[in-house]
Amino acid sequence: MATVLRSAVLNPEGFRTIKAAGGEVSGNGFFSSLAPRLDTLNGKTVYLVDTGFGGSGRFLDQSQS
Amino acid sequence: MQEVVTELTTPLSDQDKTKRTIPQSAGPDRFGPDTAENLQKLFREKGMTDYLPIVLPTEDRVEAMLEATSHKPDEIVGKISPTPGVYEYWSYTVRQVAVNAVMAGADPKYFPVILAIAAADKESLSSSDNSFAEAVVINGPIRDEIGLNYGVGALGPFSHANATIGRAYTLLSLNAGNCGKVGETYMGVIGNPANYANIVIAENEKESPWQPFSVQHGFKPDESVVSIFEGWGVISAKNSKFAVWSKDMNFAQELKNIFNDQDQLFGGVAVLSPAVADYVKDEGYDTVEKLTDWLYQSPGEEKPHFFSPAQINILVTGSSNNLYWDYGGMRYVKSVSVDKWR
Repeated sequence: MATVLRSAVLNPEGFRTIKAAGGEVSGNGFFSSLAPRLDTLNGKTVYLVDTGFGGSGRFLDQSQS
Repeated sequence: MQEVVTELTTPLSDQDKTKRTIPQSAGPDRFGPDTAENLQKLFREKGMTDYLPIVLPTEDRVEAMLEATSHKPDEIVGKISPTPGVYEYWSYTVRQVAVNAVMAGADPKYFPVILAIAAADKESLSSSDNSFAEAVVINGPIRDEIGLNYGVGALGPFSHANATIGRAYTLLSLNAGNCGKVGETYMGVIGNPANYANIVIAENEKESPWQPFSVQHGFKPDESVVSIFEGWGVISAKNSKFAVWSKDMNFAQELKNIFNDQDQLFGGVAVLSPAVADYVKDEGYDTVEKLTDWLYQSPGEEKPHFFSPAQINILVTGSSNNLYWDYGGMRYVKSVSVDKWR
């Protein structure tokens, strides 16, 4: 027969720390929408950055071809 | 490339356009009462454990832990992010650190050490796909006060204090720091077995020929201190082609050869047994600084391998029944006084 504990157990989780003007405060987090998308890339310049991770050079080579 | 163009020109979904508010609360303050079996299952299903059984954090156990510090239960101890700058920080109080310490099976007398680790604001479970490991170096009188092992098997599972302090660090990162959520805040490709209880290194100060690591970093010998390291982990030097036993051992040169063959990201750390450290001292390095300066750039060496001597750290622990030592790519992050958390 399972033993019922006499006490509840406590939650081990921390809480979010939100960056705000003048420092960090605890409170509700607010996340903005992603940036709006363009209808076309015609006439635009797209920059691809080689971060140095494995395979990124090959990706850039493929992008150029 | 077409996929990149498509992603940049496809209209956002309604979800992506939504400005969202995420509630601060991580959940209820407590769970139950329920059976021990159900509570173990609940914690496991919520991803609050390392998948080994925990000590259930009942109110009386947490209260006993809190009595081991003079700090108030609601005091903020610190904050952790799975990767600072990428994920938001989560903060935690003395009480929340105590809950995780209980879960890890720690004795209340270890609590000031665990609080000092928590005050370092450093995650033990990085989100990086590199599968990083974390080490905790412990110096000062606290080592003997709580029975930390710095003799035979110092880095192994042979001491209640070493094992549970290290485990508490992982549980704290997991629960109080929002780390280790696989696919969300943890992406380690292979994973790292050191993450279960981290690499706890109580230095063997009594047998080391050099000053304790904490003293090298400005603390007094009678201060108890934790120092955090991060990186890949450590392995036996016998793994390296440069660690060759010979009639005339030259450990300093072995160290240099191995370090110069390592990745530069985290620099080099060596964990020497007291016997190996004695050999190195007898080779002319009566201070760690002399040794690390030479390891960084010896006379006539054109270009140093690492970026600075500070990237090289030497620790001493374990027993002296043979001439083994460990090395790894791990960098020193910061030190925190344990005494301030008593």
